Amino acid sequence: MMKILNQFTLLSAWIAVASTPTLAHHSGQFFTDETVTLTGVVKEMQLTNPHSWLEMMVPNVDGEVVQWSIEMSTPIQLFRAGWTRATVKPGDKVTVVVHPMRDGRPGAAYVSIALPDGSTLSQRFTANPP
Amino acid sequence: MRTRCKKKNITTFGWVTALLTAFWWSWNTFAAEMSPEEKIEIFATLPDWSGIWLGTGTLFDQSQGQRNPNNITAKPRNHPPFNSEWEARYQKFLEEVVWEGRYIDPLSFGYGLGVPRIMAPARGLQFVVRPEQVWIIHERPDARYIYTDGRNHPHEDLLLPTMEGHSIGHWEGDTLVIDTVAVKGGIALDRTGMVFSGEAHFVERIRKINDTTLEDQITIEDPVAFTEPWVVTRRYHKLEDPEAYMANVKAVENDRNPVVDGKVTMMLGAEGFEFDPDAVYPPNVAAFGSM
Repeated sequence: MMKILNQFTLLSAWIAVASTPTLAHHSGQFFTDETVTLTGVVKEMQLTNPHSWLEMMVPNVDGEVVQWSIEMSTPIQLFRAGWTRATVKPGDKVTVVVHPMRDGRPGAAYVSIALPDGSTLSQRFTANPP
Repeated sequence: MRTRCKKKNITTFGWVTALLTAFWWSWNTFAAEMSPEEKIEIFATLPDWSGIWLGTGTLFDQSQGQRNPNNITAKPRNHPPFNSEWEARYQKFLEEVVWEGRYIDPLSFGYGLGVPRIMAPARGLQFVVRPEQVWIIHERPDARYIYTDGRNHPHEDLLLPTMEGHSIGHWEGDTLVIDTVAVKGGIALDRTGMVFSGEAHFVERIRKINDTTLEDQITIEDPVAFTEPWVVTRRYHKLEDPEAYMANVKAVENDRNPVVDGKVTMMLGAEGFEFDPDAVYPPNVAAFGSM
């Protein structure tokens, strides 16, 4: 499995000054406003309150595979953004856009995801301001 | 003769008192005695606010903080018109507690939102409009009860300060006007621990501005903390999915934020955190399911 994982490359990890607000929750203080893209393999999807978590294995620039914990919205918020219980499963290769942690640990706040079928989902349902 | 006059006066006083009491009682219990036919008649005149609504703006706090822990680079938010004493206290709290990462939002421990925070939702909101009450239900979860049956606020001896306060309302056309008092002072309004005093008075005007948008204009007066009224407007967008449903967020099923040395921390998978999907919540309470 590790060999398989090692074959994946980190497509890109660019940092940008983003104006996108971080998730609205108590742990937002941990994340920067920077935006990073990670590509890896889903280890586990936890659809839980008050936050869902996507655990994924991501190769770093040295080829080591690191487990990243991606904090997401509540399950119902994800559902309203198009997510379902079957959206990801262990072993799926996905690309996520996230706000990384300030202290450099492998954790991040979810922004969007590109799924194996090419479709994308965003952070949450976004209402169109009138 | 004197005795007879006294008796007459006492009797008259008693009758007047009884009549006044009866009048007060009947006036205050009118809504409770509203007939089903009357309710149906009134209901037919009320606007349809059914559905699930999501806030289109931000919370009072998040994403607009002057130096918000959730978004440090964000622009200054709408700031309440605190008087110098309250502003100084708030700034001191920010410097000594919030920016040091030691503020823990009661919301994260399952406490309700209260007023006015409940009206700035990042989650689902429902408005249940009835002839005698309007219920505003929040997915966090929390609820407000707005009495529209013509009653007044209770006498101060019967007024219990709560997080949601006591709300009475009336309809001006399709606009619901709400008057709220007795909101407990010191309740956290946002992620920075901002509070108002227990003297704060809230007047709201909620109306539908189109088929999919509700608006709440909130005017907050706080004679203790403010120099002038603070007017905040929030809008809510109706979910298009007719089968969308409410899902309360009340269980901490996946707590990764233990408080260590007074600071909220975060546990990651790479550091050994393992999620137990079969755990019973709250985890420190024995239950049949955990045996």
